Amino acid sequence: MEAKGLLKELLELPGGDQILKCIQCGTCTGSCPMSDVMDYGPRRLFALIKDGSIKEALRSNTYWVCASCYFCTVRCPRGIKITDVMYALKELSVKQGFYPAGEPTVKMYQAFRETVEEYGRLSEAKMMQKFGMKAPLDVIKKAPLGIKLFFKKRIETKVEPIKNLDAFKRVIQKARQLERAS
Amino acid sequence: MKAVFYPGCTLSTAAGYKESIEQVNRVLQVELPEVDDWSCCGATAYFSLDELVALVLPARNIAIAERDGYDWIVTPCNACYATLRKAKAILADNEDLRQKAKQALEEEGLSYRGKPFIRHLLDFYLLPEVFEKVKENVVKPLTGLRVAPYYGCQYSRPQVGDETDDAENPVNLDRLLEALGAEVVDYSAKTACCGAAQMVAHEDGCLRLVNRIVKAAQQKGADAIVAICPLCQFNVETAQKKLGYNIPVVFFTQLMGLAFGIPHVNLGMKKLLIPADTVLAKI
Repeated sequence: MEAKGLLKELLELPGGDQILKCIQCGTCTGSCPMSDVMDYGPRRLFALIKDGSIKEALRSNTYWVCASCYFCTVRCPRGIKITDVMYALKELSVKQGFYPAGEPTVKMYQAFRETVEEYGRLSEAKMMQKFGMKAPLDVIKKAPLGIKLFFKKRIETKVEPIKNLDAFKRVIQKARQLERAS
Repeated sequence: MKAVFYPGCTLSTAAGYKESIEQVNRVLQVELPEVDDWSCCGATAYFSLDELVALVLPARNIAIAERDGYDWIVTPCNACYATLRKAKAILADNEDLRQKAKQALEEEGLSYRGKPFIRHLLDFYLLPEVFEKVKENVVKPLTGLRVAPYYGCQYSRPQVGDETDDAENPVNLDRLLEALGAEVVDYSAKTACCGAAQMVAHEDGCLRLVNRIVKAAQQKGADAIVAICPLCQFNVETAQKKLGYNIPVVFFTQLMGLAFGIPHVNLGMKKLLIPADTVLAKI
């Protein structure tokens, strides 16, 4: 998809159009606890998007690294829900296949989603197994901690699905169908 | 008020949070049954992938609570708390999304109205009638114990119009801990971010965040850091070994239990990776 189309799609996502209100003051980047591991801070990300370089923005890791602390959101003098714009960018980038190759957060969220849709609830152990299939190195380095947690009885060994799992799956399926139709 | 408990997926593996909540509720004679057949709230993962599903997941739990006649939903997890409130606010505000969410929930015969109040467990214990009982049951005041209250992010942020505390300088946990007789230290990181789920994917960045929290608490001479969220407790406790610290990170309900005279083994405190011996020795 071309830059113009991507921008249009972003502006149509819930909260996406708020980006137009940005005055480039940099309060967001100054407030961001994760900015030092981002390719660009949020301010520069917004500048790129407004400047027509949305593809470059989508190829960055910035919005994936966001930890959803909402500091920028409560401090933005223009009232932009910046965290929600980051969510809109994540959704857009997955749908259009733009996310940076090897970005582990995407794989982690996908492992989370697969686990929830299998059991109705999240099991950390199952999620880490699924994440390990996608990003083995990220999981292997957690193994020593996993062993300690196991002996502290902090890892569930048996996961029970919710009672109405079939109905739960139908609800999700219907929501996806409605989302696609819009 | 008829309240129902939404435990969230991470409660069962949290280090004694579940055990201590059960013990504390027993002492306070508080009835908090679980939401029937509750499911995951979707947390940050779903808002990043599918907007409508991200709204439908919390809405399912709210709709079940409504069906069963509850008007309060109480949760012990910051992420569940923020997600349920945020979804409720978005659905109240956006007719199109609300209609779609309702239509999806009809697949399970549920009807969503979005009426119940969503409250963090901390705020439930601070309700005047409950807080009175908390104070009455303190038989072993935590005198001399210096604690750093750690709120994390999603207890006071985002703000959607029904907040109970300040976004950047909350005080509710301070009030509860003071009522238990503990000495609350004022430090700069009470709402600093622990990195949340990013600890899995971006550990290096998150270790720096935990360092900031623990360092600030240590500089103020805290004996323990007090958490109100399973993920916050997990990150701040488990990252300390790599950072060279050894400060216990306990749940606020464990301290409530100790002040109520409940033995620490019944409060799941043996599940802590950093033993709370220094805390126990002081009280």
